[in-house]
Amino acid sequence: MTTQKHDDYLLKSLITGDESGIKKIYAKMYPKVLAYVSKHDGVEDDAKDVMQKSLLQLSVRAQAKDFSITSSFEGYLFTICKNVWRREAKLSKSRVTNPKVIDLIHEEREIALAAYEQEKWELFQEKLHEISENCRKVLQFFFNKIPYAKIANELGYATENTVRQRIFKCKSKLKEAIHSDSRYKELKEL
Amino acid sequence: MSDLEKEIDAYLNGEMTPEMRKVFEDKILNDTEAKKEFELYREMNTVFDDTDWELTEEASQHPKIKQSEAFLKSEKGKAIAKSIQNVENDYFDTTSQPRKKQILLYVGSIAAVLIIGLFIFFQSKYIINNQSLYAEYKDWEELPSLTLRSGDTDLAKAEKLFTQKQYQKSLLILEKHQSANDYTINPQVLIYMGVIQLELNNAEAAQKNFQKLLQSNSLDAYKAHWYLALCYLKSKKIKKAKKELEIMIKDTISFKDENAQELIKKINNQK
Repeated sequence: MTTQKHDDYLLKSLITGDESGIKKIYAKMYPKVLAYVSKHDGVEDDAKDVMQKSLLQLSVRAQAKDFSITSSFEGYLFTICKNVWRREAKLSKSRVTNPKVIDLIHEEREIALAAYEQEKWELFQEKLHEISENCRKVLQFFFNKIPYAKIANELGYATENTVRQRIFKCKSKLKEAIHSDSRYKELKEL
Repeated sequence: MSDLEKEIDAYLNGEMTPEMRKVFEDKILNDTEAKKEFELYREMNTVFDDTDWELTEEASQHPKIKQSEAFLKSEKGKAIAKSIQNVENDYFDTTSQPRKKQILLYVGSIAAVLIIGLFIFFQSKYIINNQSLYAEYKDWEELPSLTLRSGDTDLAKAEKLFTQKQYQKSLLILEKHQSANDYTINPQVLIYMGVIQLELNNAEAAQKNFQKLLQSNSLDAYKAHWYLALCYLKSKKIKKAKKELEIMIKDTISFKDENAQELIKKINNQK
């Protein structure tokens, strides 16, 4: 089987719930997910949880006829797993800071929310790669909270103020790119 | 950039006084367009922060969410969830072996322990050697993808070969790519090339690539210290490896700081 065919087979098995295909995905991916989760303050049970949620989330999204994966199946699923783990981390953080939130949300809703968030995340990433490389670099620094001085130093800007202005402009461009995409509108309208 | 955008920026960056914040919040409340604009900027701040995640309102009634939820609750959705659960159960059942095999495994491990014990006895000076530290800390699965969603097919090919450990072939493609794009340094490509050379036991060539990365103006330049440390570790230049790790811990970027600290400790324990 070619890699593309194999990838199609794996995705198909997730869409239909074919256990022999899912088994192959599991065997290949679980050790990686476990390694990743353990490295990011999780334990084995967390890895199992991430794996299940990610597989189910992908299955739900792949039910749509126009769904397709442009990278490798494995790479794509791994990105979802990483994001699911980030989501879990964020949830537990907001539970700590806001103990009033009672964790009684149904699993189906949880996965439906995560699928929606993942779709938005992918759209935003795609748009980030459509703006100029220079803008992208400066924004990646900015969004990951690298200090202005460090950005100036890394990218060779004369002053922190130039960096600020550049970030201003690039953010506006990126915002425009996201805003004018019909998919964003679709994700926002009720 | 419009005045509104300037205000949004100041608000999100926490540069407004409490009074200014109040005025701004009131303004947003009464202006749907401004509110949408603000919302998008706020989303960008969270979505693009690699340590954060943009959560949706739990009660959201967005049709996409409702549709997914309905599917998961349907017969088909439940059947798929069940299949995934079955696969997980099977996976962990077969990883814990049946009884007979377990006994064999037990006997085998006693023998292995004895052999390892003897080995340690003779090698007591180097219980953990640098090679195994290298093996423990290299984690190539973590390397970011070369291609992301759309992109260069050559790079995609190289990445695929890389994951299949066909390092020579992968390297050839990357070198070709690099020489074709002489003036634009792709930091990702440099990292992959260096890692491959390391795996092929060519630490010197690997070092050159990581040095290049370090001197580049790229977003990933700071990552070079980590990879250089691995190079030195592999070629047993322990002092140099430690130096790189120390730089990592001292700088303001938190890339692999914990690993660096741990690794320094282990290196020190070896002596």
